[in-house]
Amino acid sequence: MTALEKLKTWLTTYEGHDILSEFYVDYTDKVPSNGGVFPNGLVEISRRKDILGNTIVENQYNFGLYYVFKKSPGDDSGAIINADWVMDFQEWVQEQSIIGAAPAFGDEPRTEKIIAQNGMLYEADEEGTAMYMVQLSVQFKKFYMR
Amino acid sequence: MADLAFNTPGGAVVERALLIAYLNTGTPAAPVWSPIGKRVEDSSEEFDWSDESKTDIFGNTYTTMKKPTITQTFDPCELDSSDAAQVKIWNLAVKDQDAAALASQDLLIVHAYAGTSPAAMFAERYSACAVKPTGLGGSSNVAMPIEITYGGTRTVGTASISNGVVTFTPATGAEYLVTFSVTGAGGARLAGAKIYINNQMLTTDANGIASIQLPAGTYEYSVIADGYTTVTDEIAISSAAVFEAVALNA
Repeated sequence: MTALEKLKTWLTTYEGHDILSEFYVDYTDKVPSNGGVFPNGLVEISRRKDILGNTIVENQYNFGLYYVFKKSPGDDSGAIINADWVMDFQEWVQEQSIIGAAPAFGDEPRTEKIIAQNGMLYEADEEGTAMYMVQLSVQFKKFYMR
Repeated sequence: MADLAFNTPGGAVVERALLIAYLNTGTPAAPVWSPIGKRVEDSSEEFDWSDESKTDIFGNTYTTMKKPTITQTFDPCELDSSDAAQVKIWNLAVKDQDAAALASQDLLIVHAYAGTSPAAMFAERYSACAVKPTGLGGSSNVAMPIEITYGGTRTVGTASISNGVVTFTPATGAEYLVTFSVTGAGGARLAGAKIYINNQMLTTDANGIASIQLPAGTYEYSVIADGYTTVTDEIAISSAAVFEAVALNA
């Protein structure tokens, strides 16, 4: 299973995920109750070598998560429901990461960290749809033994 | 052993991973050499030559040096079950608190950049090293920093590495003549003095002379005679006969 498949499968285990009818990769449409994950690439945070010649790399995958919900202009109660969903989702990610329930991406799962942050309304239109965005990052270590 | 050349390309610096210390996690007769320093990013052998400089009344400076005492620190040394050296040290230090065993560990330093790689790289084996963990703990991972003082008999030779298995071969089976000359009060040659070296006892003859054949290495010896203060020192044998003069004081 690729890292993206692993992440996508895990995200569907969020209990609020069932309000989404579809969850895509690189989703660009604005259909309510749909969502998607946008891979934003891999960042190498550090590369260290020990005196035996082994290399330890610390990497970070970055993803953008987009969720489209209904929200008419001026619909404050709808906005609150959507915002609560986004906030709860971020806390769920944090909890999963802390208790070790999130998937492992590297060679030292205990030290891995998955963070969902900066969840916000990205775009809303007059047709009653709103797109919310959450930034997701996965920090993990890879060992390359000599 | 003849002078060695570095086997690394000219103009390129020697990679740190080509200098590795190994702990014997097997037995003295059937050693298993396990590397020390996993996840340690910086560690150096420190040489103490016991050098002393004196300046005489004419302003000339003279410096004396002795064989070095070599120490090395490995920090942080985070515990890892796949690190056989660490597991052995942890058992001796934390589980057993066996100070005597920790003070007599068998270590091998392989200089993989010198000699022929990977079949005959320069190596030095120290038979009785002090391996001292200085702590246990840390923030997120359990670390056990280690201080090592290389000691005991030093045997030089070559190491080969095949599929991660290190094999040490002493330089030669050759032995070299070591001659002691012991003098007592007024510089008189002292007969009957006892010399203890390499688990053997020698006795000086009427001329204060005693000899022994020994392989290359560094040996500690003691000279004892009635009415004199015992002298303990060490002698290094590399590739030639050695003459050691010992003056005893009453």
